[in-house]
Amino acid sequence: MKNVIKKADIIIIVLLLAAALAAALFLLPTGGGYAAVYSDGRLIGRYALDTDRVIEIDAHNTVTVENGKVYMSYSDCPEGLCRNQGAISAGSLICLPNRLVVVIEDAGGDIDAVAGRV
Amino acid sequence: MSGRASRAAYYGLLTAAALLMGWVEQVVAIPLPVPGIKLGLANIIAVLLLYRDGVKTAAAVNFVRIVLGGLLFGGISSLLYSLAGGILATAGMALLYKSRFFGVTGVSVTGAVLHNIGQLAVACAVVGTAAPLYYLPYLTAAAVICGAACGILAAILIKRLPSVDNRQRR
Repeated sequence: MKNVIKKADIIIIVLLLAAALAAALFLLPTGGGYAAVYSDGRLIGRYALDTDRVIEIDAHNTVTVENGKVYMSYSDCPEGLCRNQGAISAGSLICLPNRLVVVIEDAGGDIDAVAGRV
Repeated sequence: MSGRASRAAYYGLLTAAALLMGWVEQVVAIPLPVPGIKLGLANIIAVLLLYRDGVKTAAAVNFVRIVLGGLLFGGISSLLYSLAGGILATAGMALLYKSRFFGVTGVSVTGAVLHNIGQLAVACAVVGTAAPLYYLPYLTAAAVICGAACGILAAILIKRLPSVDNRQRR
């Protein structure tokens, strides 16, 4: 059945995979020594990853810095996707229901092009 | 063609099947470091309807499925994500389908990728930063694989599933 996969399909699949790979390699998660916490789009604080600490953001979320990584140690959101993301030292942790974002940034606070604050 | 009632039943059945697929994926979701990756089985129904019954029907069933799924299993906020993803995906798939350059697999893959983009756009608006875009490359890679698998399954269904009108003639 030639309607299942056409040449154009192969092209679009290869292009999409190549774009994803390129973005993952060149744009994405840059590391950095700091965890910047944003609530509702506002910066709450930046915490160095080389110091272990527990940050109680509010009643809804707690973020823990441990061994150079950061993870969502508590969240009251129903699905817990932010907790499932585990400990990170690059990229971001996002708790959508509570509108909380943790982004790994470098010292200057310049996060890379993709993660620029809106 | 006294197909009104049988059509209502047929579309109802497909809507229910798509709802069930979405629910199962939500219940048995595997915790992954990148949130939001799923098989997107419900898209099989959307693609099937697109090829069988055209853009309007596919869009209508998809819309009903998303609204019902959001109200039944998700909540108002998750409904917003699904709706943005669903509208973008349905529109994109309709365009590719109409262009006739693409096969079922390409249509399905595009739908899967667009669904993610729609959801991420809403996520960016919700959290007020562009941080969710971090996930786009991983979600896109997953969507290509899952979308291709669902597309092939949809192609089998398009070929094998008897249409309402066929059943009428029997």
